[in-house]
Amino acid sequence: MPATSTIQSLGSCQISQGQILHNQAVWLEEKALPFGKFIKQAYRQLEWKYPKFHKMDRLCKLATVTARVLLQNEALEGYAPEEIGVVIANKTATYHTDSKHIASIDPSNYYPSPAVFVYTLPNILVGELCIQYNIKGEAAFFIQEEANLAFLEDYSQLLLESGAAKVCLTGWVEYTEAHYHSELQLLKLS
Amino acid sequence: MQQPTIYCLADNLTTALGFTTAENLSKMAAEQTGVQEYNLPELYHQPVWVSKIDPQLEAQHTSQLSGAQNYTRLEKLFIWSIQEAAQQLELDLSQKDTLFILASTKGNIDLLDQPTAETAPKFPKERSYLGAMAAAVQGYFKNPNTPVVVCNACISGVLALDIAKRYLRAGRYQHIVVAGGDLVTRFTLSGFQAFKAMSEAPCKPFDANRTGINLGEGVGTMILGTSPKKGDSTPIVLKGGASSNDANHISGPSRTGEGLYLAIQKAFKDAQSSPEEMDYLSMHGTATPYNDEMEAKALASANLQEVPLNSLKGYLGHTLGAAGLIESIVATWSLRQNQLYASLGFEQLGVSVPLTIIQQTQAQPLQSCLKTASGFGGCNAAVVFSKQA
Repeated sequence: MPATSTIQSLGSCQISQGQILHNQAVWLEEKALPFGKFIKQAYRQLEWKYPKFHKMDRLCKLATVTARVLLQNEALEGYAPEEIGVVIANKTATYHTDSKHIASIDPSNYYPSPAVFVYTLPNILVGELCIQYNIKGEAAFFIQEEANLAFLEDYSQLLLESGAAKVCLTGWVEYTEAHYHSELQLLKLS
Repeated sequence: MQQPTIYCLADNLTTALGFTTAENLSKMAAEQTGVQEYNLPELYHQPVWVSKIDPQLEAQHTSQLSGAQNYTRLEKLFIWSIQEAAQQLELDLSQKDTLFILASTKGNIDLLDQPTAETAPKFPKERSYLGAMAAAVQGYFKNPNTPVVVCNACISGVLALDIAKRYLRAGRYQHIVVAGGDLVTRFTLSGFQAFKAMSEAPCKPFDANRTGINLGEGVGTMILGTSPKKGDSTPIVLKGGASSNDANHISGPSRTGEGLYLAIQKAFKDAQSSPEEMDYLSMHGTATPYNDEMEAKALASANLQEVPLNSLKGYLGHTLGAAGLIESIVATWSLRQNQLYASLGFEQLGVSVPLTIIQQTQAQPLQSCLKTASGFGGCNAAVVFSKQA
């Protein structure tokens, strides 16, 4: 079926290996820092007071910083909450936090915590972003064995073309012990 | 612009109540529940009320699958369920015009847990990634398309149906196999316990004495397509759907029900339908104090408080990623059979809105219904099913 429209990107943010790019320009570079210190520095550079940040798990912190760099200049202004869609994916869901929960249910030392368990669902990062930006529209979290951004853009285009959303926050947010990588774009129909 | 009509062509339910939709429905009609008290120390430190698939029957059904030893427990359940549904249509699942959409919250999480002597690890930890689980299912059926995997808390099943709707309307596929599944595991039991969300008795959705959920496990498969099934005298169509976010709290439901109300409104708009057309509501009804009250408020906002409704969690527990599929399948059969199933566990209204809870299973002419779901992360989803006009 021929496409009746195309999508355009209103901005992007990518984070990996100690580097944050905003619209392809370097926003922060700290290649020697471990993730914990890196993301804290990024948060400080945002000059944004959001105390809940410190309670989040690493996946949600990564999503939060990526989105904030992308959206900080009121990029979502002019859109009603229900007009904003969110389409995000990763490969490992919440494996990192799952491991923490599993460690907390060792029979010899059993102390499961709701503050950890809540982060064992990847769509919680979507929930965090929705709270931060008052986003109430259609949202979906997908799992992909190999990152397929074209799939996510295509699905976002279906949402936009059907009128289910007027703008879409789309991309990939992955955190593992071995590496982290996020890229988010703001998409709309051209 | 004329959109293709989306038909619900075939389905399978694999749960504590049976391995086919028919088995499940006949037990439900007799008000039997799959929720029982179990004493399983390897799963939980005290007796717990959950809905579990009978292990002997499960072995009978899944051990016959080709190369069964190469698949995890949940994969075998998915494969069994999808195969049983597809056989009803004689559908060749290896065709390029068929897509799989799988919904699950924790998939093969049982692989990561402390292994017992019987479940010694024979799968690498990466098999616990949902993409790997889906690839195993895809591989069994030799389907050429990478499965779409939806991991969106308790709305995953309903959301998967809504996502299928988008692809079918766009003419991308002839058939979409939508399957949702989750297991009862030590992982989830301990987690919900930490939230103090579990009931120490059979759950009582919308009831004044409700105290929380019973976890459940199962797989539900619904096959959707854009042509009706030959010889089907009562085609059921998926008319529309939508999702939304509360933008309020990551684990607590909204106090106002606004987010769910928004999803319901958008679903009606997408379905070109309205509250007045609804004959039945299949609610999420987990039986936690907050969830059921939130749903009641949303229904009041949508002016749906007089439409007969149930929660099916009393029969099968809360099956997480499978719930939206399992419960949607029962909803479509309610329409076909013109049968309203009792909201098991309900005795006395315990929400602030005078909802119309189905208290006795009864015959009733039914044309259209609404299925809703809500989940952690403030997410909500709703779909509308209807007999074809």
